[in-house]
Amino acid sequence: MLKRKVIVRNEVGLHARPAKNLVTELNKYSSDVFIEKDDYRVNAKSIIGVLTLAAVKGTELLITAEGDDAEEVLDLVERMFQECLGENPQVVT
Amino acid sequence: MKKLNGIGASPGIVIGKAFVISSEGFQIISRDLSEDEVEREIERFQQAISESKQEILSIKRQFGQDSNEPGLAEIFDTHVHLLEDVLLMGETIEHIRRERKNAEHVFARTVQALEEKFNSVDDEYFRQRVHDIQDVSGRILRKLLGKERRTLANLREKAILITRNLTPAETASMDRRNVLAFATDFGGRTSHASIMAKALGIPAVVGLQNITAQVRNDDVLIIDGQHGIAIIDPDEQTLNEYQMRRERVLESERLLAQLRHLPAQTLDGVTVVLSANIDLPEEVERAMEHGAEGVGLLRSEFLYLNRTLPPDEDEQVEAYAKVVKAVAPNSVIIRTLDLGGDKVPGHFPYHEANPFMGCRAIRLCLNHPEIFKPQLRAILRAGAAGNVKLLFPMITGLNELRQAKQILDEVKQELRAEGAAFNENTPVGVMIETPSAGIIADLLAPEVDFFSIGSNDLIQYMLAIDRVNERIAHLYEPTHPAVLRMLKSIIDASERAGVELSICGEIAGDLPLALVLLGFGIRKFSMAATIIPEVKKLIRSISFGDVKNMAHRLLTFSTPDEVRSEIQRSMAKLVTNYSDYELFVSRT
Repeated sequence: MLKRKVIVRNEVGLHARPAKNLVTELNKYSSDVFIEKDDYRVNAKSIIGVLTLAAVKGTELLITAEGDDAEEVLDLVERMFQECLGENPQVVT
Repeated sequence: MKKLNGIGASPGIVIGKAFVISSEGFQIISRDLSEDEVEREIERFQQAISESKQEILSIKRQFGQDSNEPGLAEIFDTHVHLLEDVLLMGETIEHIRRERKNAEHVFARTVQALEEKFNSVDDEYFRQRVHDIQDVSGRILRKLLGKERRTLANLREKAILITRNLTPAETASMDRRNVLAFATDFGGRTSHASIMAKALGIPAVVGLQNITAQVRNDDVLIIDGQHGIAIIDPDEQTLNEYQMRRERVLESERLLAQLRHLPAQTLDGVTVVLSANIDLPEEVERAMEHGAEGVGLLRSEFLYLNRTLPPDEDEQVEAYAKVVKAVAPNSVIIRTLDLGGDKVPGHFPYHEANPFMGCRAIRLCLNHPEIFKPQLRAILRAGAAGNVKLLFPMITGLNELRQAKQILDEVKQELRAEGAAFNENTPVGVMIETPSAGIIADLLAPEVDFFSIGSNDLIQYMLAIDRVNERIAHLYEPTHPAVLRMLKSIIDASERAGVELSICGEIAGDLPLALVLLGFGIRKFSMAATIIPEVKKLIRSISFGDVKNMAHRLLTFSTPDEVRSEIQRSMAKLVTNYSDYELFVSRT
């Protein structure tokens, strides 16, 4: 099982739109993907699961993936979080 | 055994079985499946999902044509995603297969677990997402349950209703013969369901927060509407204790009922008129049994709720006349439609951000003469059968009053031209329930025959408190000095103008506050019928002179708490018979 840490950069947190973007992409892969916050773990392919994380801006999340394309999935997840999951990154002043 | 504390909305102790209604207003039954039924059940579930998806997509298309708002489209996309979610749908399918239970049962349980998860989240944005899930899951549940869904209307055996919230429409539609009591997650002492429960004499506890999640159908429950307690699955000792208390309450009710034919007169000879607030014509007999001298407020809305078309004129005449004849020669004050706010019939397409400050009551009626006129005609015609007075709600100024009276004149002319039987001199009054009406009571007085103070809304608007919002319900404070000053000033204005005044709000039946109102000079009270005997007993045990002094002293206090504790202190002294006082304290 592979692991990777990411940080939520979106201004309002991991809310419905970025969660939907994430889930849509992940569902194209065969690996099982999970997100952990503190000791709470959810299926990363479920938008509801992702929303129950209530991950506000700055939250650190642990992503785990298991399966044939696990490495690829984690690269994608890391890139997506860096790019604010498809939302325009907020300019920090 | 589990004991929950809420708000006592309507007194009485009841022991019985629970009937749980989901947030969607229907009951979900658990059913075991045989092995060969399982795959068919999953197919049925998937069918419900795909139908729901089609519906959402079609709504989205509809909105797409009407607006360019990208946010809206996004909400629908999110909802479609929820329909495909592995947690919501995947788990449900897995559990149907594993437990061999019907889809609605398994699905509702999955949704409930998710709701709890969301409700426990600190962040407001994420907590609000629960509404998206409820929206989507409600749609699927409706499909699954189809025509089989059990609603409040067909409750078949006596039970205690457990539900998240009771809307006025639901309260009006339930088969009251079988409702022993009800207990809800939401609501406050003055929310509509509570007022109706009191009117119907159904014990109720509201604001229990999550009783729906903790009770199952057929669990044994104790409801103590006096103290706002619900006990789930009580042990034997508790059960015995409450059975004894129930006997005592029934005994005190029997004693109070003996007062029925005695006048509501103070020790020093001041006589007060106690009449009943009623919602439905069927309640009038019960009101008379409790010793009501007339109907001080007939809320007409309930004729309009729970139906696709408004009632026609003749149907209304019949309903009003039933009440009028039952209380003759005493009077019936019929309030014209107070729709809007939380009472919106199905055939009214209003969705407002601020419904209590929106197009409701007289505002709605003035906008819809096609609804208003038939009602005015019906009220005038019912006046031919007995003593009817007509009351306009939610008046904020003279313009509205004059417009309403103008329409009333037009209607009278029509009736005259038709040669219909009606009371040409039907007295016209306004409900004083907005601060503006209270402040200009002296200006309104010359143009009306009577005032009726609607204290619930008046206090709500004065203090800017949404009384059904349980987070701030405690701020709804009838003893606020601003409220006392307002009441005093309305009473003084009506006395100076020689306009008849009554009060029909909740505080008329709140024993300590009823004394204050009496002290300020009010002589006509209208309240939930079940409270009449107690108020009568209280009035018969005090002297008006004392109460008047107390009421005026209250005007010198600065906070609601000071006022309330002064009232309580005074009551102990004022009520001459100590055992009576004990009775009041135990029931307030």
